[in-house]
Amino acid sequence: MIGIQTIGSYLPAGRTDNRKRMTQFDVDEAFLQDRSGMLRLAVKAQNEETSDMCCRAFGDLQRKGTLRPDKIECVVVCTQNPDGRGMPNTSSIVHAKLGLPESCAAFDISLGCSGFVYGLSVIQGFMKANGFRNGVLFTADPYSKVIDEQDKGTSLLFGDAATATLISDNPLWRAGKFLFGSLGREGASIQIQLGTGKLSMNGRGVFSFSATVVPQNIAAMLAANDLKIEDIDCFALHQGSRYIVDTIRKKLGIPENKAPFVAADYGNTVSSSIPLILEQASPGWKRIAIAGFGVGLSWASTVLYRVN
Amino acid sequence: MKVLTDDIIAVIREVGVSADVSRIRADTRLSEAGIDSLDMMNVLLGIEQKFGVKIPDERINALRTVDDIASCLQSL
Repeated sequence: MIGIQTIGSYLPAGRTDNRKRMTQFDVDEAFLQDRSGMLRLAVKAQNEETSDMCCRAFGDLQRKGTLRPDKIECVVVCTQNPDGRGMPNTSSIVHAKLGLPESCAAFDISLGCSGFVYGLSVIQGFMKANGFRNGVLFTADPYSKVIDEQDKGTSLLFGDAATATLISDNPLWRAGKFLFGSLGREGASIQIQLGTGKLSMNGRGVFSFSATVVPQNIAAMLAANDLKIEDIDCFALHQGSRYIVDTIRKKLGIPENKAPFVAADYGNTVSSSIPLILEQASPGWKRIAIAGFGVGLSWASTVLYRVN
Repeated sequence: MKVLTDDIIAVIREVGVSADVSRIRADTRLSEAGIDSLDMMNVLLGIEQKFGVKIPDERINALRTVDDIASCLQSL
């Protein structure tokens, strides 16, 4: 059985305090606290690369267990803000910086906020197909590289983070059935502007998508796994904003304490948001639903079962 | 028109905005009633779903009251 064994993370020490920007963006503290939910945003150092963030998350992973780099057979990096312009692939740069063996496969996945769930399915399938026992799924998408500091719709939301998830044949969590989806015709809702190289987001379009397609996907995924809302101990929803999390939670009738919003001190960390929740999983949780959604537009969900 | 404005106010109530919906009349400025930009996205989504229409982005800024929304719906 292949599944999640351990999760390491890296949150840069740097922070942007949104409370100091309230006048600039004409918002009040209640809006930051109760609506967007993002009080502070984690921000990487100027000279810190995406691969550096992955390596720091890997260091945290090593501190949590007995992971031997020479035993790692594949590394997958999920990012759309790679080192340089993406060539070579960031996973190869991580491979070099960590001194991983030549027999270790390394490739990137280009996805945003749905990336961890997609990445989990991809790396599990890759490992099963090739008989691998140890692989690492990284998420690192530092949007600070592409944020327009004057854009209220995005610059109050996104933070930088990285995670490293050890996938092994000695898992703590195994995944159930996944359910995926894409709405390519709405892809321009979240994109990099060709002229400026900066992120642009149609907030209304993304909200409508998140409030309609995502609850339907989660409900269908639970049915596919023969589960009900009450069977799930925690819904680890992508932390787009507090309002998005609350909206999805209410539409599905999930109790507030089962769909936590935890990103107030670091922001929307894109594909890292779900593993950051999983890393803090309560020992009592037996089943966790995970749901990622965003750039693409794309979405994916599954259930994680604790392995006894 | 009265039926339409009542239906719109019903949608505002159903989507669960943080404002006191009982204070909202057809000509009440929704922002002054406490419906912020996030709740407004939720309201417009609810209206689109209820009436089976798509309200274009370029018309959003002009939708300040229930009457404005009703006029917009009638023009679609």
